[in-house]
Amino acid sequence: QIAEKDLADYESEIHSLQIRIAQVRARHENLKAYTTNLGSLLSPIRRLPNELLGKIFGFASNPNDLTSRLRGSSASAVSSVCARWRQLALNSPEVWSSMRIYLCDKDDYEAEPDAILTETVLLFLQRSKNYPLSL
Amino acid sequence: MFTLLSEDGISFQAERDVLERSVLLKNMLEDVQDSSNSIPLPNVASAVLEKVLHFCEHHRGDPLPVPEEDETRMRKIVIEDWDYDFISANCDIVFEIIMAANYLDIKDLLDLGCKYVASLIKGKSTEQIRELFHIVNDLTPEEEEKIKKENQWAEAV
Repeated sequence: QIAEKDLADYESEIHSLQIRIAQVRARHENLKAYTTNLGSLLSPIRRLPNELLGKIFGFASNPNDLTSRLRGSSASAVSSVCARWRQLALNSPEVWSSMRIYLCDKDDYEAEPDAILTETVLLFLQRSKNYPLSL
Repeated sequence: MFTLLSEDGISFQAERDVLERSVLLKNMLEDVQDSSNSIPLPNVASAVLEKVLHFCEHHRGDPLPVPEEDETRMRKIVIEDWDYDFISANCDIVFEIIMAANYLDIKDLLDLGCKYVASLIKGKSTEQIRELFHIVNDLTPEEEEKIKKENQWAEAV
């Protein structure tokens, strides 16, 4: 009987500690998010006006590698970073106007990646608006 | 010799042809008869001004970039070895250098700084870019969903 009572006490203590760990974890996560936000506020790139950030995007996206085999392009990457970068990238036709499109060999042809690549190229063409293209 | 005064009150001396790399200073010098008065630069800290003058001194005598920017010009820019060494040695203040080059209107230095930062971005994923520049993802779930759909080509392979 004494042993059973001890076991129950231990289980109760484990339960209390688990609740305490969860609380500490939550506070840890909150503090981490807070410091990340503060770090973001101090980030020097935030001080650049849109005009200069857009210029950087233009260089970074020269050219965008579009292939059915490689992952991502600079234009897609910068336009997915945060709300400000996305707005700026979508309003900067030059970011989407330089493309290096890799077409696969006849032997490696696969319909699905090819169709997705075509869609992506069309999206880039649409976003490049009237900006001179570099293909 | 002319004297420049940085935002934190430090004086720098440079010759006319060095300062004329900056369109802003070139225009100011046209109105300055007497070189004994210092030119205040309230937007440029001494640590940055020192680097800017170093760049201008190295490029003194080089032909100035054409003021009117051709839309396709940015596709032709190549970073020379000296310029690359200069900007990468000062990568900790690269954004300050870009801002100073923009304020002083030094086109080749502005292009160099922007291209250097672009080279840091190139080839990186969105998450890597966020980490590099300490940027918080503040996109709405709707925007995230749209982006995911747009990038399906990258995820499908």
